Amino acid sequence: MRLPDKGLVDRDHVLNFQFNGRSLKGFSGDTLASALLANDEILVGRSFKYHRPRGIMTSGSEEPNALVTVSRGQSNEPNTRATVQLLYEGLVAQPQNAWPSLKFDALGINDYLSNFLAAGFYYKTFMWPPPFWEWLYEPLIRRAAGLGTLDMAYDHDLYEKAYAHCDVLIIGAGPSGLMAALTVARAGVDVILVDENNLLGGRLLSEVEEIDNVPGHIWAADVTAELEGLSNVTIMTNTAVTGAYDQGTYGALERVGHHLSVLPEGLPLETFWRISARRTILCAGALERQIAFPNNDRPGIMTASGMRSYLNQYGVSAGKKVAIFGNNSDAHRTARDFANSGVEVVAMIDSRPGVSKTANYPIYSGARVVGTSGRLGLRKIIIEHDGKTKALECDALGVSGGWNPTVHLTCHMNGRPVWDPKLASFLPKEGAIPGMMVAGSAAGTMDTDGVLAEGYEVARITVKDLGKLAPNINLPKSDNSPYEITPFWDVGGAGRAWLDFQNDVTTKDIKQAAQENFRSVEHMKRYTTQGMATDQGKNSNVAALAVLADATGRGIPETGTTTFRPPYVPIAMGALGAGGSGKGFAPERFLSSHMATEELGAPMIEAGLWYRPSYFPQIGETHWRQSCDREVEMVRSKVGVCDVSTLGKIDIQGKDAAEFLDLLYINSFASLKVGRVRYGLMLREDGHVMDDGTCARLDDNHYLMTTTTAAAGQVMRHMDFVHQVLRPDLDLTFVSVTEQWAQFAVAGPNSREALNSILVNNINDETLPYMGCNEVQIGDVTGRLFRISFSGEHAYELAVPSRFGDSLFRLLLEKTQKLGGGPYGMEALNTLRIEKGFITHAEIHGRTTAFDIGMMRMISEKKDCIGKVMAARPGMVGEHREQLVGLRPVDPVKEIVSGAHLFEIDDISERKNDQGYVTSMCYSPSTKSVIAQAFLRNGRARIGSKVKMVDHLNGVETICEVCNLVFFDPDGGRLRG
Amino acid sequence: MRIECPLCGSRDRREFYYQGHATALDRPKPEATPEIWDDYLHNRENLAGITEDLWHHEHGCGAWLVVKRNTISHEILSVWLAKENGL
Amino acid sequence: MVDLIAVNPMRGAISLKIGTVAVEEVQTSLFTVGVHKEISKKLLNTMKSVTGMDWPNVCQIKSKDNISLMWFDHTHVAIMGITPTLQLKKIAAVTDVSDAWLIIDIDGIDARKVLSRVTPTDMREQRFKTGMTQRGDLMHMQASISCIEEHRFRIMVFRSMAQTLVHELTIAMKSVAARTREA
Repeated sequence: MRLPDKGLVDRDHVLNFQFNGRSLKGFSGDTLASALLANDEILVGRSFKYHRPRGIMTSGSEEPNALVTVSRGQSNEPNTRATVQLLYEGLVAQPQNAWPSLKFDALGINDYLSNFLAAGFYYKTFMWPPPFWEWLYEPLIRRAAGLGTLDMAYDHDLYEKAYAHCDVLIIGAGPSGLMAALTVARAGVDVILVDENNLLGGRLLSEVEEIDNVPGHIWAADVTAELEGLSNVTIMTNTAVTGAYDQGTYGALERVGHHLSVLPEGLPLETFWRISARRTILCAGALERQIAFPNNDRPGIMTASGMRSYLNQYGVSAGKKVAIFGNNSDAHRTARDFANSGVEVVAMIDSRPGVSKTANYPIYSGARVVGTSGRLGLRKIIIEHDGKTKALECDALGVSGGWNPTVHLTCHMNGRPVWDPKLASFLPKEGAIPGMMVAGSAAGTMDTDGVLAEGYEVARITVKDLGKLAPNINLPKSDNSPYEITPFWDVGGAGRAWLDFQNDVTTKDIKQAAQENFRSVEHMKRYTTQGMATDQGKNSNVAALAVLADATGRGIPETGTTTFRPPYVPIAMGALGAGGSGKGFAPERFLSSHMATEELGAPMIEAGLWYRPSYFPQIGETHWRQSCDREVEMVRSKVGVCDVSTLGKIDIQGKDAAEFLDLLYINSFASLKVGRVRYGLMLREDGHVMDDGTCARLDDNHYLMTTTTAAAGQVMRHMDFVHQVLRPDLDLTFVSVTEQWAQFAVAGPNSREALNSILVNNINDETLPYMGCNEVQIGDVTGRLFRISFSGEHAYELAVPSRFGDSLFRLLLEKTQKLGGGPYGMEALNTLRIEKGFITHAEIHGRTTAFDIGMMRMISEKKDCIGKVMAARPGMVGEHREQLVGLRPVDPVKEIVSGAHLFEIDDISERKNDQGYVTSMCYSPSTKSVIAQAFLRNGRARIGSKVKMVDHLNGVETICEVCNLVFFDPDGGRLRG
Repeated sequence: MRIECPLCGSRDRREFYYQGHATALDRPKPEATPEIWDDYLHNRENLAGITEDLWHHEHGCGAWLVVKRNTISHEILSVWLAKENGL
Repeated sequence: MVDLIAVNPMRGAISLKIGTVAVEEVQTSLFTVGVHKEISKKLLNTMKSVTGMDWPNVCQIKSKDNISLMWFDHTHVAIMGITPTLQLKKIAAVTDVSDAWLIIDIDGIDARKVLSRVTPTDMREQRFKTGMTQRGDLMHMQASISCIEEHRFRIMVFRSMAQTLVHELTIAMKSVAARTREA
């Protein structure tokens, strides 16, 4: 219920919202959780396994119970924590994991079967008979278990990624974080202050204590105002730091649009930040833990501090009659605040004996809660005091088992927290994250004065460390109250006492795990699922450890903790993958001829990041093979044009360029004459083929190398490596000019005629012989013409600066069409090269040697080159190697399949008899047969023999003749002619 | 993870290509024994501790770098240009 | 005689304005000058006589009379705005890459915020000052990013990726504009 005149919500601003089909009202400044409590919606969900009725437990991101589905427009977001969801006008939320209704949930039956469903139940119960698992047990379990339901519709919300940099990152804007931020900011250091809430202040927003004689939240607002006015300060609210990574890198999730009913165009729902910081101050505070007692999970039972937050920050009382149960001094603040707010406090139950305090409500010292009742909402608690039990009527119970410093981020780089017996908690290990210091409650300092002083002190050290002068600030004074605790974990008794509320893990489960010898904390976790829910055990792990320690007769430090891993709070996959959906997945590279190609209706195929035309369909063609066959015949008989700009082009200049190329290629380029082009093969240092291509000598000290499309990046990196790492003494430089030139293959008997119709100066065999290159003029534009061929035809490649690519492509189409030609695509290009026996990366796939592809003799005897020594190793040459050969089906209508394996005809088609595999295949219109390239053991010696090709996947078997790699024009007469 | 490029400053690891141990700096002579070539190409210590390896600032300045780092703590101790190695 | 027509990477020149940020395509010549070994006195002097400026330091860009001189990578500087003379070509590796790169200027009070969404480069004002140039990643593309005025950056990516650059910048610009409106 809402109390009058309390809290920081804006009562003039009413917000309407819906929960579970009911229309309710809240105020601006509410979270969904505070608004639900204000409307006495105590029951908000059902637990994971037993479908127990559950209520709100905390007021922060650690909430295990209050998970709801929020619907906005087209999207439904399951497992939204009501405690972090800010209320907005029109918010619609639904409870989860309950059917047919929240009040009557059919699977609540599980709760009565709990004796059979204890830890490890499915490992034991669903073992026999084994086949039942797949068709019966697993589907059943999957239907029964689980939290929200994933919305299977496309997620229309935007997610964003972004990068931030700072000198000091301060995580958490409670009293220590604000004090640290003020100190760092006043020193003029560049600082980012991050807090997961929408307002800065942390616990100060939830407390009545004053700082410098003003309420804590006013002090926080004043500091915030000063920070906001400084240009060296960036404040990020609604942002949770999720992980700590190497070299001062942090992940952070900003909830950008969750508080809006409609997201404006372009605004992301969430942004995943990567923050890079030279220094970090962790002021993440502490989280309150529970005490285990029978039936401690009823709606209405929550953390004492959460209850106090709802009271002081939101003006909401969790009940009409409240009780508090704790083992520490802090719990008393909750009782005091409720009493001062006019809410009836039926009992302050302190497990510590000898606590003498006077108050206008009963205080039971040395007492404990031993039972509760009220299935859908707390009605009664049973306490034990002075050896007697007593029932007390109440509808809300605040529990405080003490505070755990929020050490999570300090553990993300292998640091293990250190047990502090006085605080009965784990503290961060010093220096666990390089560049990070911890201050305030996160470091185990629990009183406000201490927290403020530590924030200041740590900030001063950080500022000095960065070589700046730390400012002197008079420390503010607070209504300080020291924190005293006597550990108390588990009341014991017959009933089930919950630890992990979300995964329904009870003290009994932990004890059972220990009994069944899952004594290691990591084993216990996996056996019981303790701490494996979306809250990752923030509320329960330490208590579970204490119970395990007790059950195994060890201390807590010996028992140890499980590993803390990122993320600190759940992150939507959409946020982690932000920027990667749709076109953001990878850059798209378009040729200068792209538009003209699309106008011709050519389907595109991806080649790396490039988009290239597959084929150019003509009217009447219904199958790609028709287009491909026509294009091949066109090139063989007339002339074709193909954009080959995707080939890597590297401009190499310098007096040692020739020596450098001789080191890269197996063959010699020092001997290449100016104005000539040569085919070259490059190896990796391990002797396998890296890439092939042509290289032209433009001038004495100037070469132009081409690489394959696929290996352009790899070759550039390799050249950088060979130059900088192996031979920095060589004087040369090189630069990628791949994108500078639009380059078109003009291939076919009519190619020269087509070119001569556009060149200013005609070419002939004298001016441009086979494997020659020249500068040429096309109108006013200077281009480069190479007489090279990847089709086996008399062919050229003509290059012009890319801006003219579109125009040249259209012009070449026009001119070639007059000569009976036209464009051809990747399919025809591939067929042409297979007919001619040329290779691509289907053949030089990284495991083949120059020997395998029949180019061993290209390796120059006169010089060293990369890979030469290794290529000569005994294993890299010889009869046992699979060598590249041609294949043709004996029966011409039979298929050959790329990737299919080869066997002797009489052998069984199994791995031990494997003789090789097919790398490329096509239908060859020029030879009217299916043809292929394949690697075959000792293949060159087997030309003329027959092998069996088997495609095990598709069940295809074809007898093939092993033949010469070159199917078409083996003498190369067409090339030179 | 960030690497301090001697030319570009502190840069995100996304910009770098990782090659392997800095052994690759010392290419054997062609006439070296097969054992030496084998060590150069294949044999690597998988050590826990300080190591030197080669990174390429591929999406940056294009320089090959030698990065001295600790494989246990991930601390980067120093970075220098491969072409200046031994200078 | 045939007449080839020059076409921009996205046919028309790129021009966008969303919120406070505007993007304009820049038409300029671009040549790289490669030097592996030491930069000779002769080269320094020639560069000065060709461009009117001294050889740039690492990560430096400078401009004078519509000519810009920019550190480009570990072994290159780039000249924008003029065609280098034969004199320069004789003593250094000069390569015309005018058509290899799409060049845009992004300008506006929120330009740094926009760029922080597409590149891990440190875009802070005190770090990325006027006159500084960086090579770095921009949404998986190898980019050149230069600060030419306090709120104005010159971005270069390979020509073929013009569409991708515009696509990514548009998303980031919309996001920043929406945040500014929300704030």
